[in-house]
Amino acid sequence: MNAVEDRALLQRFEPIIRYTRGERFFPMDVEPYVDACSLWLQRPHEEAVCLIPESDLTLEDLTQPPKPHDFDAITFLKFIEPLNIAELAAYEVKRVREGLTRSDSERMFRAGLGRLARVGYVSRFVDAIFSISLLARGRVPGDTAAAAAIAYERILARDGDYRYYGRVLRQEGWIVLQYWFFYAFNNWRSGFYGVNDHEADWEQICIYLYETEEDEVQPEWVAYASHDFSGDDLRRRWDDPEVEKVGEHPVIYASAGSHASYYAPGEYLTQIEISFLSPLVRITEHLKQVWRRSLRQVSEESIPPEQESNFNIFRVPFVDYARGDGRSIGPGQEQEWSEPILLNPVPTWAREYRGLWGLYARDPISGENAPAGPLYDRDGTLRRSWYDPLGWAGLDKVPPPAVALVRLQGHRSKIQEQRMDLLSEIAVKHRSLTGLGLELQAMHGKPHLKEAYFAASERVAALSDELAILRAEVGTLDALLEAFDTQATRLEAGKRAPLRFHISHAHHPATAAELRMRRAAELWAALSIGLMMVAFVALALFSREHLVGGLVVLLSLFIFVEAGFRGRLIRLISSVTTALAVVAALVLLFEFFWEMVVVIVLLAGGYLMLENLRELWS
Amino acid sequence: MRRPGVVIVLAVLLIIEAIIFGSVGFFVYQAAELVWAWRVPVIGVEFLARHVVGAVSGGLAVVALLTSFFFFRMHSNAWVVAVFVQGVALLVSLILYVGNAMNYVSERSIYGYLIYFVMLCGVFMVIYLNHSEVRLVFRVDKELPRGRRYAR
Repeated sequence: MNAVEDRALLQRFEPIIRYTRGERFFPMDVEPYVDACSLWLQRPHEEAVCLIPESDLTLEDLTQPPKPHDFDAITFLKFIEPLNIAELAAYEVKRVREGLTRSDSERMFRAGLGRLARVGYVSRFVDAIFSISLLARGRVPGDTAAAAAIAYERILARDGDYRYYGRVLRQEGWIVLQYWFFYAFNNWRSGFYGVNDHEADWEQICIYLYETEEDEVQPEWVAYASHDFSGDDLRRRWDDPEVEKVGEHPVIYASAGSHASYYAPGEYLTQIEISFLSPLVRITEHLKQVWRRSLRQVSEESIPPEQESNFNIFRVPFVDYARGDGRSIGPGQEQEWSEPILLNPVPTWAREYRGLWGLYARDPISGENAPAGPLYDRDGTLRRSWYDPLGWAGLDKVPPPAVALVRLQGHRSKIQEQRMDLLSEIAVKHRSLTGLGLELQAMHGKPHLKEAYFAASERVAALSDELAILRAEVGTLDALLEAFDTQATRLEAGKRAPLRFHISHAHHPATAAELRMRRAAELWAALSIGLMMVAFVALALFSREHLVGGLVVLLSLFIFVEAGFRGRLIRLISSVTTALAVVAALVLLFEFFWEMVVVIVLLAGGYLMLENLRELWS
Repeated sequence: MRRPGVVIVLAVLLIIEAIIFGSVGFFVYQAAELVWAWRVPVIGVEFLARHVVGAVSGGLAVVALLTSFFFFRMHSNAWVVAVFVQGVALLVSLILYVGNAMNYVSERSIYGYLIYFVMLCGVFMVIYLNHSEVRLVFRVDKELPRGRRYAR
């Protein structure tokens, strides 16, 4: 494929992006961004050094970036300086005026149900720790978002472009269209109560096509990047009703500030895992499995697998507002895409520059540090979505539909060969076994052959076990071949696998039911942690001897009120009662262990007698 | 209204449980030898534990009896109230157990066994209330349509 064909293919399927009201940054060309940046070098335990100042830096300079010669040195671009007080005041006045006059309604963002009102106490405590940690770790200075917005608006006014970067590649029979979007700033934290702010943001989606027998290009899958997730849950089949399309253009709902991509509009409760809390996350996941599966606290039939919640109380909760009620960019929308810029062949600046595309905030969790370019992760290694876009979306195990039947038949032949080999081996071993059986018959009862007899018996037992295993393998292969035949029939008839069978945890927007009781729930969520701390101090001061008991009563009360606000009272009562029953059962077991053993044995004996007598009389 | 067998069984068990709670409450309330007292912190008022336990048991007996009636009628909230009753009973008995109530009664006396007996009833009822058929009848894992007071 040449550049003209690539560009045509990219434009044929180019996405439509719908933003949330209040979004200030949109996809742009990197060149004016780099022109407005300076290039810096940060060595550990030293001040950052400016290598190329803002007025001198161009995209050309990134084709031959300086090599730091130090494992821990980091090169980064710096887009802007924070505003001074006068500039910030002018900016805020302008925003307020815009809000009052409503001259530009797409700038008005109103938060929905607060994120803390959607989660429980432990999550709020974890969030409090995360928020406090912002004081200790590196972060983007507070006014940077405002300065970035002003700088970006200047660039947009001058160039007026909305651009994406496109890449076309062929991998394992698939044609992969990658759409990369560059944003000047990610203001999720300062603009939309999210996790982080950072200069520069690279986002992408992939569309996976295959060639039919008539040499037509047919889309089959799409995968939208969302934060650092990867795998099967990212992708949807092209004919999935959740993939909204306008003609052949998929619609993306970009979340405000973070620019993560979603299939449906709404507010998404998303979670961020902090590395030092990962062991607690694993433990709670395991306990949740036990609670649900073993104690059957949630009926498995009532919740489809892809809707089972992946929520964990030790991950920090945030809301991605992907409402789609703001600006739209794409074919037939209020704003159209300019000509895409191709990433194949890979531009030199993208290949050579491995540094960060914005400020290095020295955040050990990396949330506030700018990302690297489309090829690289922050540590300079290649991004998986770049070198393995199939594996990134879990498609490395899925053949294109045009070749699925052929591959299946090829694989079937291999299994058939395996089966024939096993049958040959079984035939040989069976002959040996029957020979040994005849030996045993001949040796039986002869004292002088006693040793040989017992040795042969052992060999017979071992060989018999081997044969049993081989025959079980053949049985499994027979069942597999039968399944292959059924699958081949389905493929020949043009039938397809269920739409969502590959998804284990689909990301869903919050439902209207979850957004009930807004104000009261929000007020409670905002006040509860602080109230709990005050109550704890009061207990410690005025009734120290009842501290533990009082704390238990206090927590129980708070949890009860919380459950009432969030419509989970029934589940709370059921869960707590079950937990109490488990504890009570353990107490009884501890106190009356031998009595229970006696009762169980007596009951078992009685049952056995009854069953045997029933059999006798029938 | 056609009632599944498990619902009738549970309703009867709740009546039996109400009788048990009522008897326990009456028995404990009258037991003069139980002199253990609870002191409300800060306020400083004292209550005899047997009065508190007796009152709670009596209250649970009334609620259990009413719940059994609503179980017969298959009212939508009967299940959660029944579970709540078991929860309170288990909680009180565990508090008495953990709070060293056993130190105030002679070793393995009738009062000690009452605590364990209530625990046993509670555990048994919780297991039975979580029976899949009961949960299905009362649609515990799904919401009833708006305005629907009865499970069937």
